[in-house]
Amino acid sequence: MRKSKNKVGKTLFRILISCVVLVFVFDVLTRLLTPKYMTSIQEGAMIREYYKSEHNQDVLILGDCEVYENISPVTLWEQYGISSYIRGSAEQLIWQSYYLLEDSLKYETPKAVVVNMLAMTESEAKSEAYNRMTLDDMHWSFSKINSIKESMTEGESMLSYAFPLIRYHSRWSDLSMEDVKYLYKRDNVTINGYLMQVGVRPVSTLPKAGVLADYNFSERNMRYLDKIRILCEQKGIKLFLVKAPTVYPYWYEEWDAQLDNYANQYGIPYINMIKYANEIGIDYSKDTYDYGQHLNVEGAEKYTKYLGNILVQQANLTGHKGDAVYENVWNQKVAAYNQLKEQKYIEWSKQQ
Amino acid sequence: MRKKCFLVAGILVASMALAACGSNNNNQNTAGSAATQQQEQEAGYIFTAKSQSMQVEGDLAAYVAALGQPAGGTYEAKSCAFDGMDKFYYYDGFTLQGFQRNGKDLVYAITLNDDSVKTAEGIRIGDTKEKMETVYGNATSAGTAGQYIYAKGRMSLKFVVKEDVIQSIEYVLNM
Repeated sequence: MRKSKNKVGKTLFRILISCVVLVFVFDVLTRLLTPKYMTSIQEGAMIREYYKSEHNQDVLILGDCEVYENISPVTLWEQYGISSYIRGSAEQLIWQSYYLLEDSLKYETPKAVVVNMLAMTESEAKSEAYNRMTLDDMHWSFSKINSIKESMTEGESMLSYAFPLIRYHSRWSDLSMEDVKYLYKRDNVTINGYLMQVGVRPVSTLPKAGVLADYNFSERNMRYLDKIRILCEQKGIKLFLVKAPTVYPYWYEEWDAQLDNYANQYGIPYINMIKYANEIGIDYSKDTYDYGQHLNVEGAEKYTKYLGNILVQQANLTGHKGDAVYENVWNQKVAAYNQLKEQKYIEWSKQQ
Repeated sequence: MRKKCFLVAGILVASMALAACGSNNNNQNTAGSAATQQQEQEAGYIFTAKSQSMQVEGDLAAYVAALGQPAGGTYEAKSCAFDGMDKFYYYDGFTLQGFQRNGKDLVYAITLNDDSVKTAEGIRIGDTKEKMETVYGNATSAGTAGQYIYAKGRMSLKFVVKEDVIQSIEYVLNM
């Protein structure tokens, strides 16, 4: 009897050890084969950085590259003492913005939320590659699950999001030292979600607009804009809708009118920054690094100062200058920001 | 000892199976697409301007060299994250939009901007929907309201029609 009990115990122990080994191997393979986005396509590394941040922000900013390349949280701090974080990602869709907001509100409740409206013009997910950059690094929750469900393109599966090895196993032939170096840790590629760009490629020709068959925002996009609005109302958050001051993609009057009507109907500020480019001080011969599609750091700082003034006035933000906790954290971010700017300028000048 | 061997073998088989999944899927995709390859190799609609015939996926640089620099200027735009630039060449009456594939600039779309140019089949902006359907027949598919799409090969000829009048004509690569 004793002997048989010992035998069962040993068998169970062996099974347990085998399972642990299998899980460990599976975990290592998954970490190894999942893209790291540390050097190229850094946009893929942005979503996970939020979870390491302070979660005491006055303002959360959501959207695609029109936020994470055009708005500088360090400038909001320096000018107004406002703390902020950009939960941006490449080609972020409006429903992805909603679920990222929902996710963020598990960690903090900002006083204001800013959402860029370019995503309202995209009715369908463009590709799995873009989806992955927004969804892969979200912490697992119903927000992530629902965002995946809403986003999946043909051929994608929830199982491949749950087990990334299914999607990335074929990367074994593309492995590099970066995959080994960043197996268990990642560096930050942004400063509070801002992906800095330097250099000047001026606007010489304004892009021309084609005729669209339908200018109406999709029903799904309007539904998710409503969900963002309602969620902010429920949490007592002041919502701002913005359109970045860029020249491409072309921003149609018909789109602007729909958002004007929506904003007026619900008493929400909607600011089309393209109309205020002169007032902001944007010089499209100097403040853009890619022919007016996005702003460089100079342009981003100008736009941020303008946006910050609006936030202070309309969201009653008083800032945290003089608060030792905030000062300590943000002084470090300012130092890192200035160091990064200097480094990027040196790299840019070498390319000329 | 035997159990340990089985365990190690199991891990190796699982790893190899996952690695093979990609190639297996590729084989299935290759076999499955044979039927569509013939369709895709069919030439698409051709557009001609200034005696230069052009088509989607054509050599953008060659077309620009033949047409000369566009009077309306050029514009370049990149995606949010990925490499490669979209290039726009604004000629009188039409726009060439290029994309990059394997480092080469190819035509992604040709957009007719006004009635100074027409399709090879003789349809212009401002023509009626009835005339369009007389020439091209029923659309392969209808996109959003007012959009009529004629697919051919790897491209589509798209018309935007409002109140029975053609507002826009575009040759575009099917992605």
